[in-house]
Amino acid sequence: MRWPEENTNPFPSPHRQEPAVLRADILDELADHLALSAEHEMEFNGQTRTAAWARALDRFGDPDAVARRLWWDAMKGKVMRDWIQTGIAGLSAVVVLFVGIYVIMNMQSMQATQAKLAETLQRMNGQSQTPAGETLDIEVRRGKADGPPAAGVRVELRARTVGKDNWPVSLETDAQGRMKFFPVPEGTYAITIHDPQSGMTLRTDHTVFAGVGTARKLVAPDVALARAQLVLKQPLPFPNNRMLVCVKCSGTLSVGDCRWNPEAEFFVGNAGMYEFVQETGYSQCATIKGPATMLLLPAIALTFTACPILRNPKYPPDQLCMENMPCQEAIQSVTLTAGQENVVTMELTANQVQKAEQYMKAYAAKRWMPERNADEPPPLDGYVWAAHPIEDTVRVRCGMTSTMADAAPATVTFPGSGEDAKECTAGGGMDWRMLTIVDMANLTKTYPSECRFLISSGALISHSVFPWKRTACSRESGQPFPLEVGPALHFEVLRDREVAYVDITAFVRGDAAAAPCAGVLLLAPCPQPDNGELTWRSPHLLVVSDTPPEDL
Amino acid sequence: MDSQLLAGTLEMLVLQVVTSNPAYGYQITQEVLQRSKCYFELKEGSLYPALHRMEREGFLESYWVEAGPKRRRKYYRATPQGLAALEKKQAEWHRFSTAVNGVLGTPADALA
Repeated sequence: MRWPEENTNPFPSPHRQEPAVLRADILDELADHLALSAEHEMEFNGQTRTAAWARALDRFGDPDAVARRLWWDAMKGKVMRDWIQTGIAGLSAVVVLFVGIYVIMNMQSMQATQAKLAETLQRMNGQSQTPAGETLDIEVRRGKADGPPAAGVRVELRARTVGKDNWPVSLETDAQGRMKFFPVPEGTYAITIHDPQSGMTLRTDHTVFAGVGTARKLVAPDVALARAQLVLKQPLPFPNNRMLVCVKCSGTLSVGDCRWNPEAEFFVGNAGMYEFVQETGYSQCATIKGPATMLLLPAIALTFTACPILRNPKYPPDQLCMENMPCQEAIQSVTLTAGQENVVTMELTANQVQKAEQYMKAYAAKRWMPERNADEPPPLDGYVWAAHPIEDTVRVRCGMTSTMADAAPATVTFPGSGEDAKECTAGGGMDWRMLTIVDMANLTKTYPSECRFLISSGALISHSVFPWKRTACSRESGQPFPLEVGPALHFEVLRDREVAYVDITAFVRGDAAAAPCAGVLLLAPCPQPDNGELTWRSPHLLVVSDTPPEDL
Repeated sequence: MDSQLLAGTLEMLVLQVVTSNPAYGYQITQEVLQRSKCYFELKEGSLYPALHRMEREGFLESYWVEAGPKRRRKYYRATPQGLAALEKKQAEWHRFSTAVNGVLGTPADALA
């Protein structure tokens, strides 16, 4: 038996860093040792080859084990280093694996958190920006907080937030006195509540915050409606016996924390031109608005305010009242009683009417100048109180002031003959003075040419007409002019105009210094004497004055 | 012999053998056995790991010589580092043996 035997391999699996000759060196060295030992046995002890090898192997021990140990001693550094590297690599791989798992789990957790956050933000964003907002529950009770539900109450929600749509929404309470506004975007809202039973209105504010639904509980007044009729009385005489009166009605009823007001705090519906009966001075009818309406107002203590202002034909009464013109108001406090017809009588004093005239003149001077073309002269001072077509003989009592109230009637006859003759009676006997006539638009629409106008019932001192040619003052001979107050004036139309301006700087009879600043001017177009084709246009009575506003 | 006593002196014996002339493994065992008058019988299981370790540590260097058909023989010889180590180990061993002999008696008696 020799060593190593054929196909013997005492070594472990080859290592990648193992020197190529390591195994051969080990085997050769040990084999040489064993061979020498066996040869020694055969040479010195006379043993057979087999016995010698057996003896050598017996003395050597296990050569495979020695070979493995030598290989291990040579390779253990590299093997250990390899194991350490492998271990480190494995450990690193495990660490990386765990770190990766940790990162993935964290990412998943973060993604889930971000998804929740995004969902929350989206929900919050949606709550704050989209029209879909919060709920606003409103409950209305009658009389007191635990009173019966107020059904049919109309609630209007209007946004106050600047830059947003006004967002008016109106709902009515159900049989339970409840309503729900949804969705209500975040913002501040004005709530207006109309109670049809009491005819009163409540106005309050409400703020809606994002993410917070709110509820309001309101108490409506336990008040019934009362029928009321408004009667006005004004001191006569008054021009045309017609006057524009703006009527207000106000009142407050506190119910709990709520302050309710009549719905018609400023009801134009009862304002308008009142036709006063001359004999009585009373009027129950706003002529412009039709028959007198029976007002339905809450049966509480109310304050009526009548604001008399004079009418301007160019302005509708409603608009005049909405202008909130200054006036000397007549105030009447009345407690209305439900179940019966209440009559609210308001008496206008002469002073209030006179103030109305003054305010009207000032207002007209400031704002009611007719539109004019660029080639027309600027409007002149002067005030037209009223302009009325003269269809027939007009009798005018020109007693606008106490001074003129007792003035004897005066009759003015227009030039012409037959059916064309017009007669007007104007108050006379007093000193009149007139400064300006502004608007002649109502006199006529078109004057072809050479039409003359007659201005009478006054003493004309000087005048100028734009764009009409100034003509000399002359007295129409042969025409009755009973008052003998001044010469008539003829204007000649030089070109076609629809509107002309006439400046009459003085129109005085008697003592100008002591004269009241009021008067009557009769204007009428007249036909050209040599041109029978021209026909009369409707003459007009202009009530004019130069009375300056006392408090303006 | 006590193997623990041999383990502590194996490197010194091997270095001493290969100091004068290069020697291969079997030759070293026989030389040690002869010089020690058959007292130190080196086991191959201990000799070759020691030779390889001393070679890796730089005390020995080796080379191969063809010893016949398909047979190689590895010779070891001491390096300068190995000689220095041998000198150091010899001095230490002399101090140790002197001390031991001083306690036990004369070296001749001990060897006898």
